[in-house]
Amino acid sequence: MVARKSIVFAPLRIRFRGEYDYDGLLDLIRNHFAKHLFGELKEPVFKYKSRPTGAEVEFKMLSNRNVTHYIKVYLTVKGRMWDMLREQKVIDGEKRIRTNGKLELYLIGEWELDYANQFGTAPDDKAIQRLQNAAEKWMQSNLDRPDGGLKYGDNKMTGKKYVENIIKSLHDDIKSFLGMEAML
Amino acid sequence: MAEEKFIVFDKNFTYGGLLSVSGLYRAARTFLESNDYSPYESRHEEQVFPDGKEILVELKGVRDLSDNASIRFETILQFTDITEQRVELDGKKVRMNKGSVSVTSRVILATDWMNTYEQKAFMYFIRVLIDKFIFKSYIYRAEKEAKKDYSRFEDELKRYLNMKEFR
Repeated sequence: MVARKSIVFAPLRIRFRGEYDYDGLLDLIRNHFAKHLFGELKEPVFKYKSRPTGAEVEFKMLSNRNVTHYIKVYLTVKGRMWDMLREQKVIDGEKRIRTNGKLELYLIGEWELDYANQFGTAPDDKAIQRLQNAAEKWMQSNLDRPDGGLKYGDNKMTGKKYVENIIKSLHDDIKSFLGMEAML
Repeated sequence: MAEEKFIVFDKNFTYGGLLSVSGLYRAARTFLESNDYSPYESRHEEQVFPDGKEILVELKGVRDLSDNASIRFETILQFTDITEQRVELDGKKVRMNKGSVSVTSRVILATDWMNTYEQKAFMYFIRVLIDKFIFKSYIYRAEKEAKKDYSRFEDELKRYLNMKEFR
């Protein structure tokens, strides 16, 4: 099994200060996992603290998906929101709850090759073990580079490109949801 | 680690007045995309204040010229005091912004970016010799390419902002 590698540019960081829809933002992130057919969504961290300056929320969401029999991708979203003050406002004639505060999000994408460990376990024969070890070593040093596939065009690049596209689309979705100015 | 050389170090230009934040951002990102840099935003910050917005976008991209050389492009677009403006252009009302922007760029040429020659001290020594005597012309060409890319990028943004020297 090859260790998990993060895509070249991870993590992407978004910081925002202003008015936003807190519940909508969390739903957007959760829906993004579902939309891209990720497995069970895990939320190992969810902390809520009430402070005089406003509430503080810290969360972490992560999931993974087997893209092919050889490639697995991981997506993690870490976030922290603080000085959150919730107010009811009328937008387009409807009463809505908006949150005023600061937020910071980290988007992390990782990919793993040979997740099923098909090349890792060898039978008892020592000669075959040695051959497998040599083959795995060669693969790790020559093929399993993040950019190796650009040269050879092999299908393991599916994993890297896939997680890149997912993370970029999530980044763009969050920006447009928050109504940030600098957008495509 | 790859051998890194700064081709452009924190070169900066500023502009103040009427501009479009999304348009400038699009111009920068499209330039990097169309030149195979596969850009990404390592940092995107926006703060909304009563007297305007403050935005910081850090765009980064890498272009592999060969197995040995790659160009890393890093640019920071920092917008300050951005307010919304409605402007009439060709009889149509268009949403624009008013404020100032500062563009700071850094271009780095990385050779041996795959770290092929750094596994042993002897290989490192070999790399120095190869860089000095064999790859010299290739590295010189890569440097020229990096400089050319930066000047095209700067021209593109200045043209977009309609700065006077480009009229």
